[in-house]
Amino acid sequence: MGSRVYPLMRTFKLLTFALAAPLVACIGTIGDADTPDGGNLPPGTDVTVDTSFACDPQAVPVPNGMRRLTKAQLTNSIRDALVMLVPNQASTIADEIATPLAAVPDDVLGGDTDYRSMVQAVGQAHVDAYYTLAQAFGAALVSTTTRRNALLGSCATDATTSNDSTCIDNAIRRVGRVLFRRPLGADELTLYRDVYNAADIDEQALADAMTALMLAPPFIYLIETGAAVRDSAQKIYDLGPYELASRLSYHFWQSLPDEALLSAAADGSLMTDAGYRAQVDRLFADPKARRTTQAFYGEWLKLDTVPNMSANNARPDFAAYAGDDLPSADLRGRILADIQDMVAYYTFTTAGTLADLFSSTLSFARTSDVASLYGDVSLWDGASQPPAHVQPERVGILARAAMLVNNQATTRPIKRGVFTMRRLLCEDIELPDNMAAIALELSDGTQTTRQRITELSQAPGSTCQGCHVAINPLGFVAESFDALGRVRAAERVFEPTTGALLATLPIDTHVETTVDAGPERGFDSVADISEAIVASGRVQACFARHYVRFTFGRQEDPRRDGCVLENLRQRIASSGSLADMLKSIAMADTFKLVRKPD
Amino acid sequence: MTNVFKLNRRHFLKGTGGLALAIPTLSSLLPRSALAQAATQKRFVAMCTDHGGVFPSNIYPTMSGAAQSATLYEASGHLPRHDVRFDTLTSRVEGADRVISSCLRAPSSRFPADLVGKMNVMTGFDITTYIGHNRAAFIGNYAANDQGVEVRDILYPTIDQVVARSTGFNRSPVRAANINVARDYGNGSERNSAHALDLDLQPVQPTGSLGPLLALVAVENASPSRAPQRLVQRVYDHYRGLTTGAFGDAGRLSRDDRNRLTRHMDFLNAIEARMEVQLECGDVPAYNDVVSTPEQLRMAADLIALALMCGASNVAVISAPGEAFAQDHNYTDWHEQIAHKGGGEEASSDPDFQRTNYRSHQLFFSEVFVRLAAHLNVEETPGVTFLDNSLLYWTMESGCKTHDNLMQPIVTAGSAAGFFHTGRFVDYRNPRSPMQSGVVLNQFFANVLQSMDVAPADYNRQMQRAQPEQAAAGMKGYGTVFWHPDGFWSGHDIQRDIWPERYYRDADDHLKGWVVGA
Repeated sequence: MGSRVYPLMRTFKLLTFALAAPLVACIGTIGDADTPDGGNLPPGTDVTVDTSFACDPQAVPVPNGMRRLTKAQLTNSIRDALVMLVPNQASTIADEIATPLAAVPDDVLGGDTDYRSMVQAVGQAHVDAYYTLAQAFGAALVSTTTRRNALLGSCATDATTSNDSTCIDNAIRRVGRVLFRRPLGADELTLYRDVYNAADIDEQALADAMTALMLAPPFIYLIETGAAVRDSAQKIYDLGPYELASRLSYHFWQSLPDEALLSAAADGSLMTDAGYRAQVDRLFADPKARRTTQAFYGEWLKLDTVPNMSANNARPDFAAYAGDDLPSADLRGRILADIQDMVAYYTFTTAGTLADLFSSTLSFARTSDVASLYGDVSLWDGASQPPAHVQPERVGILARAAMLVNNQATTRPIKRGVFTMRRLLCEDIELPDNMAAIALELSDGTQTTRQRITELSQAPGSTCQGCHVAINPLGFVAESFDALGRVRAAERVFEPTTGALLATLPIDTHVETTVDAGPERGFDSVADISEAIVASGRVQACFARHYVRFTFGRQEDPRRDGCVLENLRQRIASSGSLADMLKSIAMADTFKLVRKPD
Repeated sequence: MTNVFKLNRRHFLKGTGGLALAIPTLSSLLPRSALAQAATQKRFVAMCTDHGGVFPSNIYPTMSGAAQSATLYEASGHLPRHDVRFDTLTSRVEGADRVISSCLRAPSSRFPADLVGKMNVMTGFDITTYIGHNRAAFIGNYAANDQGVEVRDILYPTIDQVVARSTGFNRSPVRAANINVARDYGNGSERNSAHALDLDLQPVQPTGSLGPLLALVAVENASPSRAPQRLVQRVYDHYRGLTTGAFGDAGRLSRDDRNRLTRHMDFLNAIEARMEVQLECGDVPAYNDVVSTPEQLRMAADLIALALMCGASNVAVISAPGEAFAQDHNYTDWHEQIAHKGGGEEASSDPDFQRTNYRSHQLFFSEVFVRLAAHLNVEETPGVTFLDNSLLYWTMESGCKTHDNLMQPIVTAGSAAGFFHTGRFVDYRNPRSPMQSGVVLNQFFANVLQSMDVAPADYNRQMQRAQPEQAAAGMKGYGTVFWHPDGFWSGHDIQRDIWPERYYRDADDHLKGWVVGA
């Protein structure tokens, strides 16, 4: 039987036509292959999805616009700047300015913004908050003699005043170099010295200058104008050394360059291959890289959607459902820590691969409440070899509590399925215009959640069916886990107002579906479908897309980003370590370029 | 101690030397918190862009199925029933913009949904005679026109002056009764509407330039100190310098980047405007260029916002050339090519020229109208913004066809302290009328005046003086009452069939769909 490469979009159309579903809008976006001619596949044809991206070395890079620091980047930058400027007071000052820092508007996701780095809007609320924050920053920096001396040095307190002016200039230069991520120009020094506006050492004048430096565009925005011209027609420039230092530091640390990186930019070593590679390795090895990867995994896996687990403790049905595992207010954070520990382990502690994330049977539970959800697995100490899970169902990242929980007395298979489609397989699910809201009636105990959802969303000929025949199985297969992520053999249904047990119903995790656009086949467990997802090659391509979105703060362009995406995808697909993959993007030539928009 | 005059728009200064100001300290320039105001201070800003001719499809939203209606007139004899229809004003986000229609879009950063909810888009206001080019019809003076010969000697003061000088409008002393950044209708014109006032006039501010406006907001401060303004202004200078090349290669910044920096500067301006302490000013240079460029118009919007918020004045007028913000330079003569060829009958006009036309108006909307509204949309009292207590409106010299003062598009912001409904698309056009005519623009002006607490008896005096026969015949509203006599519009007898006298007789009435309680 012949085999042919076939793009996913077409395959989904065939699938939905076959089911006679109107108004379906499940659109595949994996890979970059062109749609082949011809419409109908012969029955029984083997289908292989091409998940590769077309790498055209001649493709003009995506333009780089000026970027505002995200709130996370702003927070990290200020904290790290304090460490560089007033190391002994950094944590104290960070605490003092925590309130105005928290008041900076959050980067709220929505619409097409998949990642917070994509949220680039600036409103009055931002600038107001920056102003308040900068005032607090300036005031805190000069509020004690120790801090002023740390900023100004001994020249501020010696017996002579003749060196005061130089002393002030140097302080502005020093703070400016840290905040602007480059040395100040002479004109900039003049500008901020004018803010100082005092002839001698003056506390308020110094605070004003520090405030102004934090409000300045080179701090708030990542401005890359480039240095040497690479291609004048296309407005492509090599990044200058300080721009490159910033790009590296925000890529790996979500923060400004440290002294070593600034020095490497200053002495030119960053612009050598060896010096650059050394800095890439150093930055990735630094603990600050962990917070960046933690942020990426958190956004990729949509961990912010994990709800407050204890919100419904007072509801009789939920309390009865949870039993001895009634969540504490801390459970959410511990569940998130569990999965973050997992990805950190495979990224930093071992040379783990993406496949390892989907096949791991190790447990990272550090607290008894999480361990209880996992069948009383042994606790991990955070340092030694993690213990193995005691439940055979607990395979891979999809079997972690954070991927499974909600704070209701019933599972949410549709949500689980949508997550798999969107975040792991990069399937866009466009809602039809006339989609009706789906609301499950309260269960009377005669049907399982799966049965009720199937009846409601997969009714033959219904608008919903087209997409839900693809979505639902990806959630149903995880029905062996309850709403608290516990392994279960049956579904218990409780009466909402009394918490009385209404029924214990057998669960069914068997599904017939496809994750590779090939023929449908049977799956019975999360482990089965995780293995298939990895084998399909689609999660590798999808992971590459998501990482590009996160680190560049924009939607990927499969054509112009083709080489970066394909390089990432190949590294992941060839069992390259997550660490190497994450570092590799910084080694690409395009990482060192800036293309200015028209 | 030497008094030093302070200004907190240093970046607007141009050149050196020039006019030295001696501005007295006024109670109105004290921090607003220091003012004990017995009643809400309302504010009024009217804006206009020349020509017009923006097709309805490019400026108006569409009515939804949930639109409501109210009857203005039942059918009577040969006259059809006339309803007003109104609907919630909706917007959507497209990229970085919030969009009501092609012409009504602005960056979301300054045009949030909240602001849309404080706006109205209205249509169906007509002038019942042909007046061609005009400079003051948008504020009620039809005499300042070049073709409506019959009405050129009928002088009505513009409504900004009526508002500014009405008894009790200003709750506390102001530095200027009204701010005029409009062209060709103020001092020096033979049809200067101020000449027609029968009030005890204060001198009108010199018009059309930023110099007097700069002086207006230059605030005396007797205790020069190292002030936050200096800090903010230097930061502002840094942002501005990036866009102009003072700090690095501005040529490598994209237009989008420069626009983002400019928006950031707007927000810094707002911070600065809120500061009570003023920066040392020194001499204010002469700046008498007629306001017409985008930068000047943005400055005017900023300065007017400042003047309104600090109490220097409560009334302002802005007008601008239709091509002020033109970006598509596919023309050599705006009037002939864009306004005429692109702004005539929708079916036969050049779509490229129409696009050029509405884009320029759209940028005025975004860069001036929304900018000013956004500036004012900050709290004056807890939970109430300056904008809430104001009425801003923007219209065009012509309606949706160049030179025709029919279907004047009007965009408002602010409710005049709850006088008007907001967040609506209001359509007074009557589809049952042969010309889809609406109500007379005079009724709009009368409603505006009443919203500013000017009683009908006060403004009716102007008709009694300028058109005593019409006043005696029971005509109401504000502005010239005159029907074009010769079947100019499609051969209609417009006084009999299109705008019968009832529209003028009822022109003091609160407009249903717009005025709360009407």
